[in-house]
Amino acid sequence: MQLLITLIKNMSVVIVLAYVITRSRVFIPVLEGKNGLRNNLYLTGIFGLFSIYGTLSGIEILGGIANIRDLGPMIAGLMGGPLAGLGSGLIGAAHRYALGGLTALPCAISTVIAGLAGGMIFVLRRKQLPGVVVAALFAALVEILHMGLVLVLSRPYHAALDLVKQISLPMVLANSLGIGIFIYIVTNLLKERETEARKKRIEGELQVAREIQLGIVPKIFPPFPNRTEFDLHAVLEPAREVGGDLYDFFLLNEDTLCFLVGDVSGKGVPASLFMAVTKTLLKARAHEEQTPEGILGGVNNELCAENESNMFVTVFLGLLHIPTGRVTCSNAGHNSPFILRKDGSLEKLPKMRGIALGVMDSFIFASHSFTMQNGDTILLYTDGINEAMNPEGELFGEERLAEVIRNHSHAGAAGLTNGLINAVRAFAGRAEQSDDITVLALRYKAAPAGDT
Amino acid sequence: MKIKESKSGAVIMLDLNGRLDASNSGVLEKKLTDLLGAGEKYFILDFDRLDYISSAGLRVLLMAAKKANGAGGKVALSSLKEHVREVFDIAGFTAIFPICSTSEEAAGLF
Repeated sequence: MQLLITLIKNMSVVIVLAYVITRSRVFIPVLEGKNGLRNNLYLTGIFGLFSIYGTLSGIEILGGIANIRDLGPMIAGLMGGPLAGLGSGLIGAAHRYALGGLTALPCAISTVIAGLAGGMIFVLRRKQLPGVVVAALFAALVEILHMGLVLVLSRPYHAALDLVKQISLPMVLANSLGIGIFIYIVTNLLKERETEARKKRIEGELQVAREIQLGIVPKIFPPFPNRTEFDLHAVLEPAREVGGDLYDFFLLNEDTLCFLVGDVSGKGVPASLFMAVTKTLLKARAHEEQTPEGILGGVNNELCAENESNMFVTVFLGLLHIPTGRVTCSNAGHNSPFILRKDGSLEKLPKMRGIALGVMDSFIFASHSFTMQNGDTILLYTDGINEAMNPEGELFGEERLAEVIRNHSHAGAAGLTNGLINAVRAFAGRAEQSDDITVLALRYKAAPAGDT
Repeated sequence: MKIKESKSGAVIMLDLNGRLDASNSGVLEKKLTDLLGAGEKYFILDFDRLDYISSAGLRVLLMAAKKANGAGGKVALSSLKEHVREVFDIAGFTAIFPICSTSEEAAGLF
């Protein structure tokens, strides 16, 4: 019993050292299965030394040594293949043989065999580590062989038999336990590395997805440098890497600007895919239909068809007749925009009959018209603004929103959108951004030719 | 968010307490999907103690309404707080769900 405890103590020292080594940077190529010359030499040296330690820490008993000498070469073989196993086995064996004694020859031979056998497993399993139980059984077999060699090669036989009777069980147990623990550690390490690698890959993909998503909304301002009749600016800030908010604006013809803001239910990757589809459909449909309600109705029907995910998107869409400042708009379940008049007064557009796109097939949307005077601004936003939360759990709310808009009545479109984003950020403070934030401001600058 | 379930006749009553948003809409989705899968099709969702609903929450309700309606059933909502009702109003979802001021009134719909 005492013998077993001592061997387990020694084994623990080897395993702790082995653990430290497996976590070191130089061990990474070994974990990745690259068994070049350098790795083989490295494993040979380290585990050869472990083998010598196994001998030195052993207990002399009846002319032999109870030890864990085979542990090092077995690990080297399992991790690095036959060459590393053989190399470290030879180091341990040479040292043991030099010490002489009753069992010098069989011990030396079995140490080499331990390393080689580990290497054979490495080759047979194509560099895959065996499971904990298989590895422990393997170590037990090696030790039984070790004992057999002692019985066969050591003389006198009765002395060898006495020795084997004393040391075989502790040695089998200590060595197989050691290998078992080591394999357990390395297997966990490999799993951890795999998880880490997968996480990095997903993060990388999300980063690319973010760039793609931010790339599909127009981001160059001013968007139409030669159009002096309006000033337009928009900002989109996803709460996560990607999000479900969208904005867009484009000229349908020389006189008509289409502008819109939308918000897909939920957030993250599913929302971002739905967002990309919606944006594409809206733009395509806008060139076919003449009216905002026609555009939204058409896209609604397309989104309703086979909408298994039950996702939906709220959209506010307006068409600005540039020569007159006349705006016709429709609302698919989105927050009503604000209109900031030149004199600083603020209005909210009235509610219109509408429903989020993708919910109810064949829905007929209503529309609304109003005129923008020179200097008036329309502000579209998503609920990431009014539902932004501070650390105390308060909502930013429409009153704060209205106040910030009024305070920016003389700022340009970019001044207003950036001012609003900054106000929301300042309000949220350390609170995590819980939803995507989008703001679009369109200021009309031409004096309309006669009020309509 | 806490969900308390009770049953009266063929009608399942779910009492929602707290906030229904992207972080927990999956819990309600699973609950409703399981109930629908078990053949239930009449639901009253009591919003008396629901403080907030996000679009992720609306999506789950929409899913339940479509499936229940498809099976000849119904999803009714009751006791919506002012700002919660506004979310339904803005998105146009008042056209999809019968909305009642009390759960008793909702029970009368079935």
